Amino acid sequence: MKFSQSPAGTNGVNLRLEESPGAGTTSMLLALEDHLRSHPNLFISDTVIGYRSLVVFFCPESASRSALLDAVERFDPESCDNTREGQLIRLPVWYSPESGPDLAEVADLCGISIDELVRLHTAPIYDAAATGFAPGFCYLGQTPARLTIPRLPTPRRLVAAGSVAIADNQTAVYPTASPGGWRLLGRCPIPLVSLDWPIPVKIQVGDRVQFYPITRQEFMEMGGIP
Amino acid sequence: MTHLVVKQVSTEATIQDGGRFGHLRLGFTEGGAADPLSMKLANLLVNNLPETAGIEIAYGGLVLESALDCWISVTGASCDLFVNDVPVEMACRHTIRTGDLIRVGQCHHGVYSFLAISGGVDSPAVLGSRSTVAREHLGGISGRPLRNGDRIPIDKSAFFTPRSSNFPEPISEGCLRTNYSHLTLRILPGFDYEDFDPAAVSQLLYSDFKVTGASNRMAIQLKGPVVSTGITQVWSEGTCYGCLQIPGNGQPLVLLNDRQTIGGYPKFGAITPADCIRLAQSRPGCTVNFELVPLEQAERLQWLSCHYQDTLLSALGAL
Repeated sequence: MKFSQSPAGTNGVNLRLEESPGAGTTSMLLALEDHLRSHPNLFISDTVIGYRSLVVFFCPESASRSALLDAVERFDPESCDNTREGQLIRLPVWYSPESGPDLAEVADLCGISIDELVRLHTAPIYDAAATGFAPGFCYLGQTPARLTIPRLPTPRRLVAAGSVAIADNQTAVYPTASPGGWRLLGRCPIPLVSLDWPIPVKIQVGDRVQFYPITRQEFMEMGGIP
Repeated sequence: MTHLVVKQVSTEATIQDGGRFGHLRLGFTEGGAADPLSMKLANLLVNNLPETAGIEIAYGGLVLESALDCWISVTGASCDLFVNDVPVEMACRHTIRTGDLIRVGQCHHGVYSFLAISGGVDSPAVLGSRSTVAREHLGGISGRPLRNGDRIPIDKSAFFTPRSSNFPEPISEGCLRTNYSHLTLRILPGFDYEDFDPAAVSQLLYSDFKVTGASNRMAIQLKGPVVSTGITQVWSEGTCYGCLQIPGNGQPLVLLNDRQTIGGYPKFGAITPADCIRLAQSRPGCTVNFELVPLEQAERLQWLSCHYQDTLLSALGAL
């Protein structure tokens, strides 16, 4: 795999893989990120992993772009452990028309029953490929082909915190209440963002996520507020 | 804990400091004063460190009652300013006594004014910053813009008895220009630039665009000829300050302080930080055009603007 580079403003570099994202893309980007962050003299201030790119920001007063690009050159993709796996996070979801206002319509549009929809959505172990949109909002892929569905034509003004949603071939949990255009299947009672944690988000890029169904009763026992 | 009481807010006022850095990776945006130079000047006028938290006011309109003796200064977008209904100058240190009313009135040009208070706003710091990002419910008071009745805590450890009446003279207006009717935005190409259709590149470089009213701290929304990038597949990736994105409607967006950390629209490059600040201060109707700058020139411009800022700030600090 080869990286192309372009400026991301005067204090940033966008390092992009030339091919489409596939198996191993995320671990390759994580390995490159580790490699660069292990060099204190690069003065890296922040990094953002996307589907097939790593954007690196540095302190322009202290670091030089050319030193950073040299370090990228020295990165050995062969040393990248493609089997590297993040933590496996199992998230409970209360699937119901009450907690997931689009559940019935999605089942209809996909031509399957609600039970089958839940079975399909809970089957895969999803990979967290990128964080964005909101703090701790992780793009999880890929959903089974039968669940591929476009976003809502008009985004909702308010989506409840913990809402579990799908769009295109992705799924995600809205960590906090926000506007949103994905289709809502249910809600997760477990908080995904907290400023009281040493790392303030639960899911990070490279982690793997699997959902499992719970009842309304269990949702409430786990601290969810219907 | 001593404080200022919010008596009236017109458009929007938020607590801001230098910004929340180092957490883009987890999806937390940077926030921070939209016009950082004005923030630094205002803070130096009242003996604060340059990035101390203060109040950013959009389009003027804020009344505060002071529950302490302090100094204040207001910089940035040009507003009428009153202490107890007596007009006073912008960009100047003013002594405030307990019970005084501070009124930031009508805004004549520019968008964002910055009000600094000696000691600084002491609302809780979140991930290293007091900056309010309303979309993320973070910073400021309860993660939202200021409302009537809010008590803005002021750092008591920096509490002091004012010695002199006023700062010798206001900062010259040249340093605080915000009345723009046209801006040339210098842009460093990057991201998807190489994949842009040549016709789209010409359109971007040889057309004028207008700042629209849909602009805010997240992004400036421009209006002009519809730009058709010819790019069909974009994988969401990290954005940056000043990032120029072309969404599906072909109308350019320039991302600012409260931007989302990743974006899935074709990206042309990034406007230089100094030009971004001018753009943030420009009002709907202001026209802009883009000028490509190579990396070396963009870095030179950035160095010059840091040097200018350092010179100005150290001159002030020495006064």
